[in-house]
Amino acid sequence: MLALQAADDLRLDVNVLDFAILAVYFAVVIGIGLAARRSIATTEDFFLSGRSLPAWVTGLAFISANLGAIEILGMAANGAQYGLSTVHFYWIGAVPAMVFLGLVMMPFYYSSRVHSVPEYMRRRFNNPTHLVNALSFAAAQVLTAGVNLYALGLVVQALLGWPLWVAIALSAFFVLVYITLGGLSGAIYNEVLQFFVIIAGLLPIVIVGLVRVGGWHGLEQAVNKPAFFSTWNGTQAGGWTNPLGDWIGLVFGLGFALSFGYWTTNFAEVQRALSAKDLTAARRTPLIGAIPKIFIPALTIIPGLLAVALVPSFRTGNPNYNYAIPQLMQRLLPNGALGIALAGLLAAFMAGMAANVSGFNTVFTYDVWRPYVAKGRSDSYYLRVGRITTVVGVIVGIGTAFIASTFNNIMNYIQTLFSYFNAPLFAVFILALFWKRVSPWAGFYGLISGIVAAFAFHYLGPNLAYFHAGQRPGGVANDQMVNFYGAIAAVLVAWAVMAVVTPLTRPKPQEELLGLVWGLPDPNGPDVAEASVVRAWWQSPALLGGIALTFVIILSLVYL
Amino acid sequence: MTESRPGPPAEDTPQSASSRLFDLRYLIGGLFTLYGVVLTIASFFVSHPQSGDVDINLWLGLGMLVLGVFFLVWARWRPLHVGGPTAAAPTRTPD
Repeated sequence: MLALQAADDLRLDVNVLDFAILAVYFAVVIGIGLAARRSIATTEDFFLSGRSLPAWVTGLAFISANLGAIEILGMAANGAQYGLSTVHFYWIGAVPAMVFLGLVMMPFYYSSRVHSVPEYMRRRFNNPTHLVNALSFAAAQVLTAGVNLYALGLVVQALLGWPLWVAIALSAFFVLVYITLGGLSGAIYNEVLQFFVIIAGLLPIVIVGLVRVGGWHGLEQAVNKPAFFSTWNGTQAGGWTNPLGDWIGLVFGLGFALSFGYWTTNFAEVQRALSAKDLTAARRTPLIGAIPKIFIPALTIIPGLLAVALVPSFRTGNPNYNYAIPQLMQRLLPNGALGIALAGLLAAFMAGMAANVSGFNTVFTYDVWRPYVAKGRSDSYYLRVGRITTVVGVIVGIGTAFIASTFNNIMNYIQTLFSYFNAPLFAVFILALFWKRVSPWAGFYGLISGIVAAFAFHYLGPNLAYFHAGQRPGGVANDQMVNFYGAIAAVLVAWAVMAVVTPLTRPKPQEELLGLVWGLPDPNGPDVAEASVVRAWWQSPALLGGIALTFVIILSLVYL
Repeated sequence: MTESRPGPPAEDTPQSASSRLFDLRYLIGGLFTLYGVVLTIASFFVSHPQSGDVDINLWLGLGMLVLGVFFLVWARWRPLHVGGPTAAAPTRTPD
């Protein structure tokens, strides 16, 4: 996408009906911000929706915060480039991690009443660990917001012919308005709405496309690449041929290090669950999100395969894979459905950016400004800081948009960011949760060494012959595989450093760890009473998690 | 005001206004009903050479209409804040 050579032939034939649909949508987006403003009186209202939302809202927002346009276009690109193997990002990647978050980790986040993931790090470890986590998260969020914005500008330029800066300024303005006014509630409500609109936008592409090629078998014949229709073929260690590399990288790198790291420690995600109204709703948040996540590949990977079948340039030369969905919008959708798809795509860009900005303003205010810059001020002061931070975050996001221009595949860029920050953080987290002896300084050095290891591997990995096609040096390294193995390296290095530093340093007294570590429950915790509340059987987190995992296992066997 | 949900006591902070947040279901329901009606009507006037035999505007319009009506009915059937925000312990929640 970022190499924008073939822009003019993507111009959509939009008419007044499509623009009317778009105009209504954008009016609603602003309306949500204005209406949500009434519900904000405190910082907790602004940053965590006052911890008041029902589970279906936070659950859909949880999935939608990740279902930005970069994810959608990027996964369709992967589908066109790698075929069905792309489902690994969903079925071995996202879903098990989301189930783990809901069933195992959420009680520690929610019941300890931390406002953010970095705040957990401060209470479990110490201020330096906290600051590293807070600053690296804030930087990653602003970078990602910039990527979103730049990509949106390119897509709008290609589809509608508007100048890049107009699209960037306009969408930044919309995001700015609804978050500055409505805070997290404004972001979450827009995300839930966007979830339904993007499905309404993508489903017609899949239906019309599959009818055009003659169903699933027609698609297999039209694509004519059998390897594209299996998921685990060629993943044997030592002699991989699968486009995503061997099973070690897939299971331990993508499935464990990257995905658990992203879904369980990325505050932009966890924040949605923290805004739920009680502990059970918080635990059900990622589980409710996991169910639609299982089926989203049908709306992203299938369009990627349809593009291979239906777009001539996708079969020859060097196609721009990120334009798979826009290409199909142009070819398959009449006016009307086109307007919905366009609204969904633009909404997805804004939702992706809004998730980053709302995570950024919260961490900056709660974890950088309040503890280290201006302590002990009034709540209204921090609310004002939050609003100003939102404006600054959007402006910096616009500035960083251009960092993205040096990478060819957006997903790789995002994955690279994850492996720098999320995998080491998860390594530290999992030891922090299950090993009460881990000392504050072990957490600090574990985190730092993990980040250094991830950076180092990013530059070393491409030189290792094993990551080249055919395991022979001289070719181009498999980027995805380097990312997966880099995340494994980061986790192992962080664990090793923590295991060495812990015996040499003082642990935290146990009474300070109550409610923060497995096996040390807080007898006075705020959610203790909730355990005695009898709930309907269908509200059980374990049941939801079990259903999600069962679906994934069945589907994985069907599409082996 | 007694809060049903547990939380840290507010000392010098103002009262939370989160109970004043509107019900999202009406908004989703309204927007999808509107889009559904518009697309269904438009399907009789818009030609669709792109989608061939499939009148996708009609199917999409009907689908969005059904979803919109579902949300409106759900919101009417189980309103938010049963008994207002001062109710001691809402045993029923709208999810």
